[in-house]
Amino acid sequence: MEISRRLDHWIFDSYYVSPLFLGLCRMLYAGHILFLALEPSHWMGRFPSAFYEPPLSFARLMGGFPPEAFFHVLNVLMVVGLVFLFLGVYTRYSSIGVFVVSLVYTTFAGCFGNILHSTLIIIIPLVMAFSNWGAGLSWDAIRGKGGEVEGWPISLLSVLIGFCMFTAGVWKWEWLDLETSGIQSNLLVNYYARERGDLLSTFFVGIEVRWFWEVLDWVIVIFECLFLVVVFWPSWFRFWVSLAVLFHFANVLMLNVDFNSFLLLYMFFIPWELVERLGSNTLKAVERYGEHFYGVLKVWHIALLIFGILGVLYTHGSFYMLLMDLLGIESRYVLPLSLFSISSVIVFFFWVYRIRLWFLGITK
Amino acid sequence: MNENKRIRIRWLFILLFPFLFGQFLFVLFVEEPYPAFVLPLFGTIHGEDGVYSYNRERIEVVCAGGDRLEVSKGTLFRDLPEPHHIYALYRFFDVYGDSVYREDVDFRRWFWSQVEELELCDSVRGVEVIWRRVAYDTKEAVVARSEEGLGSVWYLREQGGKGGN
Repeated sequence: MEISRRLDHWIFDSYYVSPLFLGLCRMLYAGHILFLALEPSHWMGRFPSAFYEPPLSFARLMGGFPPEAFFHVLNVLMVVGLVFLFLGVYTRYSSIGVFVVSLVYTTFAGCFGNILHSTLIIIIPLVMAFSNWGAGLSWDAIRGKGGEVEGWPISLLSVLIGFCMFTAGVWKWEWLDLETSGIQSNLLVNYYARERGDLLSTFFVGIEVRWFWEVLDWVIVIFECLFLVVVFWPSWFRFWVSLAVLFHFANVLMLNVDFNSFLLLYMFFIPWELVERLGSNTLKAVERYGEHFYGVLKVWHIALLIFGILGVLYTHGSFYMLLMDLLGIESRYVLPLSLFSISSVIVFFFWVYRIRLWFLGITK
Repeated sequence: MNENKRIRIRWLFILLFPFLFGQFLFVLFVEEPYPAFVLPLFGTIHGEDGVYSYNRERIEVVCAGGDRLEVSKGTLFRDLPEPHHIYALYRFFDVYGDSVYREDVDFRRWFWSQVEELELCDSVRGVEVIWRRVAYDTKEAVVARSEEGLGSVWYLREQGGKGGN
């Protein structure tokens, strides 16, 4: 009985996100995919069947890539699904729709032999569809059809993240060999073969202290494998997720591997109740200093928001890169990443408060 | 939440673990390249005794007049998003033996249209892909880089044939 009770507690009560923040997560997910990550898929239709090597999936039933028109339809469905998801229109159905279209896209994209590491990102809408993440900040909520928020899909997501990180770690068991270094070999291949020499990679390539690389190998393997263990302790899992952000950030600095999309997974484990409390307290304090001071802060916050957007544009596009080149700034990531991080945190607290007021206004 | 729903969700979690364990065994024993559920595997490119190596290609378009112009795999497979280039390249050279290349009209049409669209020369004689093995020895204090030629593969425009040396 005790085990059953604890199991129930872990499944149903480990994580709870308010409708407002769950809605915010939904909008961030759909917005990120729609505006930053979405790639048109019709290019696949231009390739001859020589490149077609389907993984174990429905794609094996076909002899080659479908025609371009098929992918154009897929593109349209994806955009419509994401817009619906962003606005929270028929949220559960649009979530499942986005998942199905993403699955078809990634399956065909995987036919080139590349193993895409986006499995967890595309599974988010399927899992979260059952959390009623359309209960807040949505058209469904305005119609009174948002449903009640459920926490168990977030627990499910934690198991999937834990398992995936575990599989990533367990396959690196060879890294534990004291004669060689897995992380150093990755660094060298990235640096020389893939020509990823930005940020601190040159510095790390120069580190020739054997034990440094060996310790790093062990830390990475242990960290990834333990992800599956900490799943059963939500507070530890949240801590591990925060370590994962640092881990990915270190990968950006050393291997120049982008990790933006992983934030879409980790955002569900932010202690949102704490954020809400902090946001509301900060705003109350700000309001105490009167309108004038608030006006100054508003300008500052808009400026930071612009920097934040430019930071995102920079990391995802060439426009900002060109601007930096014109300014003679060689380092491609440091400035925008710093600006983005600082501005995001500050802007976030302000928007949380504003959105909350807006949401309360609607629901009254 | 009603009790029936709770029971269903409980079962979902209970069944999830053996399912994931099954996936794990599948990946372990059935082997790559198609694990159904594996995430950030940062490669396992290992060197023996601290020597790391990889194969590197150099693609050259050879004009009828003999001029040679290097093109990157990203240029040759420009319709593909970035992460797919290397896989397309390996797939391309793994599969195309001489006879397959001669017989596959669709592929040849696609390949030469890609090359001609680049407008590198008036008339293209062929494409040569030169392979090298690059190694980094990290045993010593300073990383030593060495290169070894692995030969090249020719794709000829007119004869539609492929040769190697």
